[in-house]
Amino acid sequence: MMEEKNHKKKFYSLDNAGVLYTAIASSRMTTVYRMTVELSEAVEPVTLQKALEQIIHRFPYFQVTLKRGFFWYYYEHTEAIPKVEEETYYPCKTMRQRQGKTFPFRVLYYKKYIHVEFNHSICDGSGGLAFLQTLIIEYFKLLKGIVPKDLGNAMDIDAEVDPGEFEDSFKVYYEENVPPPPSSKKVFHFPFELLDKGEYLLLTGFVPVAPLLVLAKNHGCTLTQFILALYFESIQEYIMELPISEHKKHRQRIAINVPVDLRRMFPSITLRNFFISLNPEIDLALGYYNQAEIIEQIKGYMGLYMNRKHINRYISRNVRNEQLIFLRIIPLWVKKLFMPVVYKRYGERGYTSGLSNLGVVTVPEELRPYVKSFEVFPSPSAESRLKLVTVSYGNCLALCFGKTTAETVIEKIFFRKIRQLGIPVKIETNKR
Amino acid sequence: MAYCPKCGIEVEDDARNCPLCDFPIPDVNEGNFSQDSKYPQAINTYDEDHLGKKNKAFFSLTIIALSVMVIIGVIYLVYPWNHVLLKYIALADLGIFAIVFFAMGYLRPNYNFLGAYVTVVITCLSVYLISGSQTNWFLSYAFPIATLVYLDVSLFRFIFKHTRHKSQFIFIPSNLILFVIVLAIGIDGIVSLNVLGSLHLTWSLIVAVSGICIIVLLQTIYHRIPEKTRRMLKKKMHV
Repeated sequence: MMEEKNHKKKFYSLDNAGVLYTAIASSRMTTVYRMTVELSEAVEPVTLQKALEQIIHRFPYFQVTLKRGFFWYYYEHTEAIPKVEEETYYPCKTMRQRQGKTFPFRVLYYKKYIHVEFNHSICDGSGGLAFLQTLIIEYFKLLKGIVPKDLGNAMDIDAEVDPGEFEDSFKVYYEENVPPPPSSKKVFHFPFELLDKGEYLLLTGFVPVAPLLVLAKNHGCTLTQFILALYFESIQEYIMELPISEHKKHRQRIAINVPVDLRRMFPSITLRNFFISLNPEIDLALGYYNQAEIIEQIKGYMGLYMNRKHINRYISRNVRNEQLIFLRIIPLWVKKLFMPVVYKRYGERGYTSGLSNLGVVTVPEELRPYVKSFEVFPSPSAESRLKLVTVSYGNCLALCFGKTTAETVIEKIFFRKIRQLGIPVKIETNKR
Repeated sequence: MAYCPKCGIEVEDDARNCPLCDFPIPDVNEGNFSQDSKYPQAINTYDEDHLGKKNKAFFSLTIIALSVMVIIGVIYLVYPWNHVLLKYIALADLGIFAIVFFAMGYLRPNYNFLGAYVTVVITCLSVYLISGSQTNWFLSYAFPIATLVYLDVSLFRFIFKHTRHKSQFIFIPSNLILFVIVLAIGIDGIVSLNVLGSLHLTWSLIVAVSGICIIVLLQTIYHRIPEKTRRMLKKKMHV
């Protein structure tokens, strides 16, 4: 009992990425991402609520509420219990903060679907999935009495909370005096009309994994790299069909933001944010790229930059920026004013879109008949109006687009490309 | 199972059009498909949330403005103090309140903008009437300059609306310079009409000429010189 109390901290300062996410959050850039799981039967809300109440004490670092400090936001422990809600609003809706009883996540259900939406300031996709998996296991434990033997990535709710689960790994693995990475150049942005504020569209394409894996193997690259190449190709094709002069087409460069989960690179078990984004790019000034060339380009880029030495440059730049004394002493409301502009200028200007691969999600053997699919959607953004997250479960790869535009031309080119490879695609969307 | 004939992708059973290319999906289920959509009809709460915050702010401002008016009114009636000063304070209170109301954007942008203009003109007129000035500064300066700024900002907004999706580094500076040129010519004209009695532009012409040069330069960078003109220039310049 005493030991448990020691881990129940009162305050949790934001991690390095969380600091940025809270400062740039607005009603359009909500910084909220969504994870969806489809069950084989309709969700029982009462059982889901019970399951949530059972597991929340295992995640004390999520049972918090965002508070406004003078210089930064911080998370404060709350005794309130989160409630599950039926889905009625647009996905990834802004999280109302500073009310004392709000959580940095929400659990929604609708028919056969459970949605968990997390504020990116508290955890990244990897941490969120651990929470979702734990929730599903507990849900079925209560509903059907299934007690799985192997929990996989999920948390054992009877185990002690490890302080490593809520450490800011950026600070732990930060090395001083590492030079910063080169700054990004301005790249092509989708010229699509934006949706009204508060609206967000999701579009998922389900494809079988096996044929894609075979294709990726034939090209000698990983699945992520192959999908990334298809995405690059689609955007390139779109630019080539734009009604602008040849001269202008050749001035475009396409860069895609690819987050790298650093838990694979560093021995961290944190559930908070721990990722760094790389920006592979192709420059159309060098000419039209065919598929093989794009794959070579991506493979080369990842080979050069996806290593601890290079990643350290990003970590140390970010942590150094956070620790700059003259940035720290600016009051929060001033930071709130200029951070969105700084982020737009230095962050989002450097990439056209984002592609995040969350890898393979598993559930324990016993639950497999009851869990049909997993999807993860990116958080909305105005500058990169279309972002992609991929996650695979069983033999099914979900390609989940999150969009702040109603335009579907990129997805059309992208999925038709996959169809042309002879792979069946199933599309689901919340667009009416 | 329904498929889009153009994209070849499988779509949800209740889809009437392809979610990618909007091509109508043949009704393979003969109309009796299950109403089993994955997402509910979503509600957008942005306007509601936003309006709630705005109303709160506006409500508190209204209370402050009202109480100032009441205090001023009571002092005016019961305490024989500087009456002109009280009138000025009341006028400032009303004027600021009206401007804040229009700035909150409850009406359509054009009406808000027009309202702000009318507020400025009325405030100037009131100040003129309260002060009982000897010179007719309201008709000769305040009203023309307010109208000039109103028209000039309208011009700026019109051009901005039509060029907002083009390069911001070219069109926003061009637009701003145009704004300054029109403003300079207008003010110079009003001053000369009042002082000399005739339209005699001086310093504003320098502003206009140099401004137009910069605009032409910026637009040339954006549009590039047409091939024909370039050839002609090359010939004339012997390069």
